[in-house]
Parts: sequence; C-alpha cells; structure tokens
Amino acid sequence: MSAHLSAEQLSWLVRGEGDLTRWEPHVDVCAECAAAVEREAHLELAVQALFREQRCGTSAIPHFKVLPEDAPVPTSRAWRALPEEAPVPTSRAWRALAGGAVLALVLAVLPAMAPEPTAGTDVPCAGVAVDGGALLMMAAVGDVETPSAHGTP
Amino acid sequence: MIEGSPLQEAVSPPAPDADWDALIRTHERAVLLALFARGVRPTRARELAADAWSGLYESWRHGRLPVLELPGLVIAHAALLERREGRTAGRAAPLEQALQAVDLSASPERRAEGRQQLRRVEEALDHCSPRARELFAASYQHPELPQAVLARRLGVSLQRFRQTLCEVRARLRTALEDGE
Repeated sequence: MSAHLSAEQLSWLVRGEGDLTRWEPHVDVCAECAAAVEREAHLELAVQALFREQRCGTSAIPHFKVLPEDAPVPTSRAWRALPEEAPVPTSRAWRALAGGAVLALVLAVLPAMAPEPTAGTDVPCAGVAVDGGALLMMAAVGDVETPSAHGTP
Repeated sequence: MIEGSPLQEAVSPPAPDADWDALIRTHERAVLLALFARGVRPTRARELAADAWSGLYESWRHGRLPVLELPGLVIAHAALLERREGRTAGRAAPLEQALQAVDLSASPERRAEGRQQLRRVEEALDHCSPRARELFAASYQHPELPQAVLARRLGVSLQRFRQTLCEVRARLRTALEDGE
C-alpha cells in the first residue's frame, strides 16, 4: 500500500477498528502518515477524555483500580465484578451537605434561645444527625414521664 | 525476593494465562493509543506493548506487584521502555500526561496544555448540530456496539452514520490543530 491514509482510515487505526494490519506497514515507513496518526491519537485521547468527563465528572483516565493487598488474583470474572468507582461528589451533594450543616446549627442554637422551662414542666428535647447530606431530625416534645429509679413516679 | 521465602507465600499465586489474555485483550487498545500519541509507529508500538505486558506479568508472577493497576501500569511501563530507547524522547503527549488519574508527575504546564486541548475539542463539539453530537457521542458511549447496530438504533443509515462521524471528527481535528 503506497497511498496515504485517509482521515477515516486514521480514525479507524487509532480506534482499533477494521483491519489494522492493512495500514500499519505503510505508517511504519511513511513519516507523513506517522505524524498524522500521532495527531489523530491526540484527538482520540481528547475525545475519550471529554466523554469520560461528561459521564463521570472527571476527565482523568480510569487507569487504576487499586486492589487491596489481600485481594484474590484478578481473574477476568473477578475483574468484571469489581465495584464501580466511587461517585464523584457533585456540587449538588456539597450544597445538600452544607444545607444540612446550617440547619443542624440552627436547631442546635434554638433551644438555647428558648425561655427557661419552669419547674415541673417537661423539657423539649431534640436530636439532629447529619449523614452524607441526609438530615434526620428527631424531636420529642410533650409529656415525657421519666420513670423513677423505684419504678413509681 | 527469595524463592520460597515466607514473604512470597503471602503473595497471591500468578494469574492463569487465560486471564492475562483477557486483560491484554481488554486494555491493548488503550496501550497502543497512548504509544501512538507519543509518536511511536505501529509495529514498534506493538513490540513495546508486548514487552511491557511481558515485564508486568513477570513482576506479578514473582510477587513484586502488590496491586495490579491497568492499563496505567502497562502504559507507564511501555512508555519507560520507549524512553530508554530514546527514539521519541521528549515527545510525551501532554494530553496523556495531563489526564493521568494518579500520576501527578506531569508538570503544571503540561497539565494546563492538556486541559486547553480538551476545552478546544469541547468547544468544537458544541458547534456541531445536536443530531451530529448525538451520533458522535453514541459511538463513544457504546464502543462495544458495531456501527451498523448504532446506526439502526439511532434511525440513520450506516453510510449517514459514518459520514457524520467523519464530519464531526474533521471539525474536532481542525480545532485541535489550529490550537497547536
């Protein structure tokens, strides 16, 4: 083969499509086509990175699936069963987390601003737990009888 | 490591060859692409990739790799072999370096250059029609599917599908080359 590679053939070559052995010998000896393949490979890396970025929020090459030291030998079946990458925190998740923290702060301050309970009345209690952006508020307000140590009020 | 030492017993046994064949099939394209982007020609790229896989397998077999990181490890090894050869010294693809997930050895300038290339491609893609973007994206979102299947699913002829890919790619190519 003596003709230079077309744009389509260049894209096939870097994407591994079609019969590569037809063109590779020519690229080996043709400086012009070798340079074109190099440029095309740059483009391919960029496009792959772009779609990776749109898909999972990062353009980083997912080169590395780090296995713990005691992991079994990665057979192809085990390799497929590896857990997906941890999700990248999105700005929405950060906002939810920040919102939860602010709400927790407000709820923690509110009891201090409330008037002191008079003797004999029940004390409202509130507990707030924030976990990964999810806010769980537990409040118990009302007649709460505290049993005495002797079992009778 | 000394053969039969207690340390070696703690290391997992070598993977069966069949599994390594599967790993190579899965990651071979990424390795070759990285080498092409470094200016390595196809036949030499295949030789370097084969040597890198061989070296990696030997290291794994002798328990010198506590973790197996693919295809990053084999790409790094192939690149090292290529640098030793000195044929394309100094031509490491900035984009490839910039996009390394873990390897932070690339200089800030290199990484910035890679990011700029990425943004240029993104802008060029944004200027394509939504339909062209859809077809082009499908070929990357489902690389495992043949183009004929993708074209049928997206309601276009195979010829039209391929033509669109070529047109979009030409625009992206121009954008990338204009920036250089």
